[in-house]
Amino acid sequence: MSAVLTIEVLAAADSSAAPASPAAPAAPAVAGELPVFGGPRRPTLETIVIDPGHGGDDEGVKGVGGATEKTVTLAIARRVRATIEARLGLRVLLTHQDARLDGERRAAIANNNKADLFVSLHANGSPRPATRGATIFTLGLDRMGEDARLQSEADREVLPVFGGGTRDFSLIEWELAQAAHVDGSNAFAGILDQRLRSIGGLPSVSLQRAPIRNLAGANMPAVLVELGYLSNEQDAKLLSSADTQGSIAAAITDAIVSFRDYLEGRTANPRTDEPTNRAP
Amino acid sequence: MKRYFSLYAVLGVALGLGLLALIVLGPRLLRTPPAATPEAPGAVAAADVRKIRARLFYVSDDGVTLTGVEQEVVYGEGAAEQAKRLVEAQLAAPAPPLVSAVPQGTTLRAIFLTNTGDAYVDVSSELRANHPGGTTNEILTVYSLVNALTANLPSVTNVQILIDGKEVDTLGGHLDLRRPLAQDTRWVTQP
Repeated sequence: MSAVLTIEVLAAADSSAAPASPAAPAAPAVAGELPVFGGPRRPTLETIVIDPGHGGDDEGVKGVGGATEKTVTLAIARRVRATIEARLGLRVLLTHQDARLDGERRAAIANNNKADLFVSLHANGSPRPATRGATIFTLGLDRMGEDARLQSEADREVLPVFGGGTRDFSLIEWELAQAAHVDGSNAFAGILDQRLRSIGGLPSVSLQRAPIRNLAGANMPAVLVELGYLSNEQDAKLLSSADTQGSIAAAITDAIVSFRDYLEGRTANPRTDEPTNRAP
Repeated sequence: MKRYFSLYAVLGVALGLGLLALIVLGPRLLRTPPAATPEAPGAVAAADVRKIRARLFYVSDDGVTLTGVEQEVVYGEGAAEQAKRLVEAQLAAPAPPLVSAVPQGTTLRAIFLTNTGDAYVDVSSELRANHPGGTTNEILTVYSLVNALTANLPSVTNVQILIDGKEVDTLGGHLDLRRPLAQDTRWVTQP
């Protein structure tokens, strides 16, 4: 069992930023109150980590027509990175460039880079060749995870951080870090659900919650997206085509823009329904 | 006269002993199958095997959920033996048109039950090696085993899957198998 504590260094008060006019008498300090630091607020989204599913000698699903999951997800992940960087100017990292990584390592890359959003890209498989459609997974908490979530909320403290703004601090087990972010993850999943539905050819999108290993340790909003079924001929063709890959990259980028609006209070919680199984 | 009396006494005692032997040993002798009936090698005397009705789980037509199907499963004496029989039945290839979410070749190595409702199901490496992948597919594989036990054995509430005797992180990189999983009926639709 392990826990992670993130410590950010607070800035010293900058005298050069003080106004030229005589300073007003300082307000009496209130016990328990923290000093307020100046400077601009930290952007709600600075770093996005995209996780191409599988990699290295782990090919994932071997699809119809020879497409493999690791190849498709890496190609789409690269397009997503290029689109986000070009349109939004955010920092985008991929967890790997065709290497086998376990779930803990993938989440650790996002945590160590202080990512604000973690998106794991996968392609599905089924013994039923007719099964099609995308599925967005968020972490489903078991009893232990729910306890961890409640504990993290009880322990949460808001502290000012270097460069202005504030950041929530709470102690939580490394392996259950996602428990503190399930609301944000579900909000992003709801937005992405709407955006992916707009892509022509993809027959359906469903939302699900499950104990997904990659997501459990992610200390930020996180989703795993199964973009379609490589075991289905039509989905395999779509996911292998440059046009659809570009559309998926654009849809994910649009979802990130909407999620940023949501985080900054410009839009209401977009999620309107509970996860359901929807047949294609 | 005395000689005839002794003879009657001996016959009476012999008759009494015979009756006693018939009462004590009779039921056992009657249950013994006739030894003279030869059977083909490998044939199963199906009529002699006691069975129960149990709900097993297979991939539904939509491919994204499981369907519960009533099947005959060999009776097991006690919870542990019945759990073994249930898992063996779930691992077996079903008759068409049913489709199993469990990869072919997977066998049960051992099963352990705790008195707190956890079952540890140790299966062969084929479960991982022959799995075709995909998050949904992996979920259906795992919950077909979890639900086969939790839906049929009230004493089992959680199931953890082990492979070749060892705990595993995941089956194919998706579902978290580090802890026992409870029954999840969200993945089951009615036929």
